[in-house]
Amino acid sequence: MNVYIIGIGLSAPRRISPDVSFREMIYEAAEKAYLDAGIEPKDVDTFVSLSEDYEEGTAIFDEYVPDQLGAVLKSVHTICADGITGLASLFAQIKTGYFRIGVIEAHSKLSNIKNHFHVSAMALDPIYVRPLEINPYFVAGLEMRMFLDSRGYDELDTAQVVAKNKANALLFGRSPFGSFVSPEEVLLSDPVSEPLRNLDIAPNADGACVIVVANEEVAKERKGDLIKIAGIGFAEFTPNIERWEGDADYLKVAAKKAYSIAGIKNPLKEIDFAEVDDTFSYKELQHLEALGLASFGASAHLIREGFYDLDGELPINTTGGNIGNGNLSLMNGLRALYDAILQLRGNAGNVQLEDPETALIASWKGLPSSSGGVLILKREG
Amino acid sequence: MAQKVAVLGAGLTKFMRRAKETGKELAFEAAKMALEEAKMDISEIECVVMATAPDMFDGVHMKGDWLSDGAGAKRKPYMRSYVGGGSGVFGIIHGWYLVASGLFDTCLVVAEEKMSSSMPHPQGTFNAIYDQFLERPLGVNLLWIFSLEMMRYIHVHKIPLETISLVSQYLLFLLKTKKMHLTILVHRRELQAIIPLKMFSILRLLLILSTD
Repeated sequence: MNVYIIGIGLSAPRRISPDVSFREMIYEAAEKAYLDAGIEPKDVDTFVSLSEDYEEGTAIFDEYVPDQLGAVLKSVHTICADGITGLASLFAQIKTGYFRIGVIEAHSKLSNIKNHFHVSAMALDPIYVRPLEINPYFVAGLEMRMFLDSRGYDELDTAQVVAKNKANALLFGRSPFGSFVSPEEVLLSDPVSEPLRNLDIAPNADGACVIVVANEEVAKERKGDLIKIAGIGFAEFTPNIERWEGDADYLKVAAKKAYSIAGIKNPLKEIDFAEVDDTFSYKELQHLEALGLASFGASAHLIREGFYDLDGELPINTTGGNIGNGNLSLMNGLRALYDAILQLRGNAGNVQLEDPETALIASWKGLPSSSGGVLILKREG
Repeated sequence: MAQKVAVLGAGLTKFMRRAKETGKELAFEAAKMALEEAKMDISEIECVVMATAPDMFDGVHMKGDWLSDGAGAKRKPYMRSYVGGGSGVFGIIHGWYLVASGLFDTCLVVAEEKMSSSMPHPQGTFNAIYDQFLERPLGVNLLWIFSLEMMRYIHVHKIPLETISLVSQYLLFLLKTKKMHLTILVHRRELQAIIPLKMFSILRLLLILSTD
């Protein structure tokens, strides 16, 4: 049984959202997604919500999502993971044959948090790491150094990611952090935890996204192109930061599963474009190598050549990635999925690619986790 | 269509008021017991599901990630599924989704809870489940909603309080006759003099104590 995406809705990313609550943002995204799918909430069989209690400031947060999704007295559960891992839960549920239509929701209201890194620090091991009182950005700085040194890269290589993604965001028009900035200017931004600099970090943002998924029978009742979930995978590496190896092994495992389901043998040739997590600039290069979209130590050379540009052979983060759209926490993966569907439908405006058919979306849960998911989408005309 | 799913093994750590083991260690012990009963090695497990309730009990943000290596999930597909207090049962359901769908052939489902890390008492952390604006400032905890619900239930169905207390008495009977290995200890004297908790209609002997 095949599974399709039939509706998407977004409450667009923004720096702050004092005018709306997280519930209102989810409601906006849900209303748009249901309209796009041509369904009503009563048609939905199962709902997945993505959240982490500490970021919400509320425990057992799944109690706070049914109202605005139209999910009261229906199957609702939380997945504490990135957007693609959450989608895998929905994918499995539809594949059992017991559900016809499913909905996944993710949101970010990070502007409510005074010091986000204080919350992130609570995710460090409470016995061995937390007593060191390190800022989680220090962990990212250490990993970035390990990544650069192991491949012979320098900061100017990762600055290419920032320049590319911010330019894409500006062209796309919706993304709040778009700008034309040169790689050299990126290196002039304030150091946070060397070699990590201020512009290497995706700024926090607010927003909400809702995606409607359905089985083949429901999907084929609809007119127009179908977007099929051709492959999906997710994985965990280890929460022990001292065991990290700087290679994003979680995406290697996740990609292997996703490629296997999708029947992809050579991702470099078979993928038309990709949305790849770039919460930190070095993460994009690290993830590209883990996904097999560059060989070990080759991603820096490829990005400098323009291989990943909008007019390159494999465009990456066409709408600006997380650096251009903001860090939406667990919503990052669904925002990337939303934008990939815009591309596949031909609705990506200034950054529209020429007739793309196959997309890859890779998400990372964020600092200081080592988990993520990989999704392959195919357009069926 | 769904492929058939069977349970091959199970493991359970001893319940206790204050475990010295970390949450990771509790998860490891239960997972190891389940694998031993199933006569399987962790390398034969294709994915791991973790069911665990609020992060605030353990005081760890992204608790599912923190528990992952204890549950044997390193370099494996791993998903924390969560429906509050129902997470334990839902974890099994979620494991079923992943196997019945054909996505995986084997799944290790681990449920962990270590409530004693909340000091002085986990009821304090339950205040964080309430609406930030309207309810939390009242200083309420979980007993508050159970008390309201119990009052409504008693009122609507016209059930005497003494009838409700029979549940507690029956649990004590099972404990005495060793038909049930309860880790909650109920003193006979308390049964004779049921003590109302301050401000709540709910009674001490109608509560189940928190455990690890």
